Amino acid sequence: MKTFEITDDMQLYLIRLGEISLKGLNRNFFEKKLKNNIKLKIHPYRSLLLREKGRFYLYVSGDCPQDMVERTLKTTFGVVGFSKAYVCEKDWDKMVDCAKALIENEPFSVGTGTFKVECRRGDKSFFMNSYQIESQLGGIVLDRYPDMKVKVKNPEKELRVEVRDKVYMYTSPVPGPGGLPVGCAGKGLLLLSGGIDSPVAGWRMAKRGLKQDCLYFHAYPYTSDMALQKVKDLATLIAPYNVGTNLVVVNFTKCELWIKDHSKEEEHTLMMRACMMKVANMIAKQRGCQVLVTGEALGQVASQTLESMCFTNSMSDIPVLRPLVAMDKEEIISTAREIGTYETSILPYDDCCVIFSPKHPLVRPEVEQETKSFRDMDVDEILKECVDEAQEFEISYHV
Amino acid sequence: MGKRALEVYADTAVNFPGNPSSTHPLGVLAKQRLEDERKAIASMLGCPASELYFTSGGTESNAIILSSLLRSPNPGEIITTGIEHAAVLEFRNVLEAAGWKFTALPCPGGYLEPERLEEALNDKVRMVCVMRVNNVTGTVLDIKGIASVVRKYSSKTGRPIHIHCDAVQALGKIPFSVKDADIDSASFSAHKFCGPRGVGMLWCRNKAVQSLSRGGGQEKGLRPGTENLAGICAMGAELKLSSDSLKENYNKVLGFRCKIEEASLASGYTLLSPSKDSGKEFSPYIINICVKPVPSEVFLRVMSDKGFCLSAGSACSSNSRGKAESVLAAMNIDHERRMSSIRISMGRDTTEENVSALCTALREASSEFGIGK
Repeated sequence: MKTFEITDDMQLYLIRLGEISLKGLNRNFFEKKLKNNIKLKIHPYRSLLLREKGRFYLYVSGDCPQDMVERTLKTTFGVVGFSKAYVCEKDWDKMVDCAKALIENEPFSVGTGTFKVECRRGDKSFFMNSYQIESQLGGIVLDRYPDMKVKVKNPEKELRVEVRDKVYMYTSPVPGPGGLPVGCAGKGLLLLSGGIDSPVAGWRMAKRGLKQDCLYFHAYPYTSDMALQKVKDLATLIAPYNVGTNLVVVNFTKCELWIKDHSKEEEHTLMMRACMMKVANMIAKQRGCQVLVTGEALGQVASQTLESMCFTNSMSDIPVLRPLVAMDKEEIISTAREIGTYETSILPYDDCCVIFSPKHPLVRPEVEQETKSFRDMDVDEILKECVDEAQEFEISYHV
Repeated sequence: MGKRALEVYADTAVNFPGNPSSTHPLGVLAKQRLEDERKAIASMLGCPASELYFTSGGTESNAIILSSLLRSPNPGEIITTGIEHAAVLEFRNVLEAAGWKFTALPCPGGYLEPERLEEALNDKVRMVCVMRVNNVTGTVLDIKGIASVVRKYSSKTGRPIHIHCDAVQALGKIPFSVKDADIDSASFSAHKFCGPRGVGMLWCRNKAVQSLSRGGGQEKGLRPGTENLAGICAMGAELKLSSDSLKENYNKVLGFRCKIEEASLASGYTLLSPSKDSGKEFSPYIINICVKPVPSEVFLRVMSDKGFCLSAGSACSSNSRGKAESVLAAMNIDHERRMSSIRISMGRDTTEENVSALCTALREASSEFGIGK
């Protein structure tokens, strides 16, 4: 293991891994993905990740803003928790200096509340036992912050000490997002609208390790450029979780007008969904995406009944994943708030114009009947045009 | 802001740096300039200078009159129309919360029928508030006829009723003098006749009106606050320009309006404003057309791409509501037509070329959307 002295310009973070530490023979694959994702997001700052005993030790060059490191770890799936840590030689005087330096930072720096020192001694040959280390360092905390109180069960703050090849000290961990490292589960195409649901769907699939590109259907002048900007903003908000993304924008105006003129009014929405599926399939194929991801929830609107979903599924050659299918709106909204997309999603720029929305849409379509209606529209050429003329925007993974 | 307004603004700001309320020589000079301007504007409006108050615009002028009702210990009723500007209609909640009855009469086609007003009048009514020119469709309401209905009723009951007129869209555009109709107060806004934004006037002959605002007692306490002398003088200069060429501008814009009307009808749109041949009174400066079945917002985007800044009568977005929605509803215009309403406004500087280009753009948009097919 490469050694680092505690210097002012080197930062160390201790990262806890969840599910991936339970993996068997392919654990290296997951860990490699996670390492790459973290390093990429911290780039251009220099970083080194070392793995030991089910954890990562992240060393970041001192000129990288602490805020950037912490925002990176909070948005990287695979990270269950992290703490800023200090490391020193197994020398009592150095350990005291290290503890003193650590408690000058948050969360101890407020100087009040309850705490405990918890020591784990991997190296049993160290001349002090865990209890002695805990009491001595506890005394140092109390000397510095006389208003603080020791509480062994459920303290507000913890100072943890691990005596191993070296001594590691860190405070209570900050929770990370958990999940699996993005990219370990393949690649998908997220159908991103300007609404509340689809960014949450993308976030949930990224949490299971699926890397995603995003696809938006723009119908200017029937939808405004503000609606497109809103989708770009949403893609930017979920991009750090997804370790960056590409937003593909399809000009859908011609297709929508064609549907309006060549299908029954009550079928407009279904035909539009069918066309979207066809276009999404073609784009997914071009980009090596194995699945489509949508924000549909069962029964939320007419196009999200079981029958409608069966029909749209029949229009796709690749699986359609619907991570929100069993969630109710309140649950979706709560996640949207948590990941910071809600306020953008509710901006009043609609992603579909009223003139394309039937007053009484079909809610229980028959697959055969609708497939025939779709074929009768003879829209293939237009769909191909949509794909050929699609625009692409690269969205950075930086937080 | 017009060029003349800019010149006068700069000149006044530089040469009259004093606060008109100060007693030092610079303040006295500024006060003199303010009162000279008041006299000049009052003579254009046909009222005594003592009845003219400078404000920040039409909204504040209306607010002074409407909020004065709140000082009355016995709430009564105010009658207005459903096609008023939000500066009036938004007072509904405030007045109702204070126990007032707020009656907004429907105006089919954009006009208030005198019989409807006659029926609505009762002994609780303390104020009638009616606009001169509707800002959404350009219809001109017969304020003289309305005033005579109110005065007739008032003389029968012996109870005074204050008549207020929102004349923001009228001044400088169509002939308007406070002497024309038997009214008690009227609101004006400078930016409607190329004056600066944030300046306006209230004419009020009813001495009983009291402001809710408190301050340094400026404008006889009706609109306390340091006077915007440069803005007021710039407003006066532009009002003079507009008044001097009122007839000429009116005829020019009327010609434009007729052209737009003809081009619109020929392109398959319909009119929400009265037709030029309807025999009804309207301001040529505003024309409202219906671009059904295209939603207003969509049509505006297309026209904006063609270089025209028009406004929507209504908003199709589910999350927002168009400002003019309730006004068009009060004119008995159905939901579908309201959703496709477009307002075209002109000014005295609008040119023949502007109008021709607009007519071409309207024709192009019609064929792009397949309107009238």
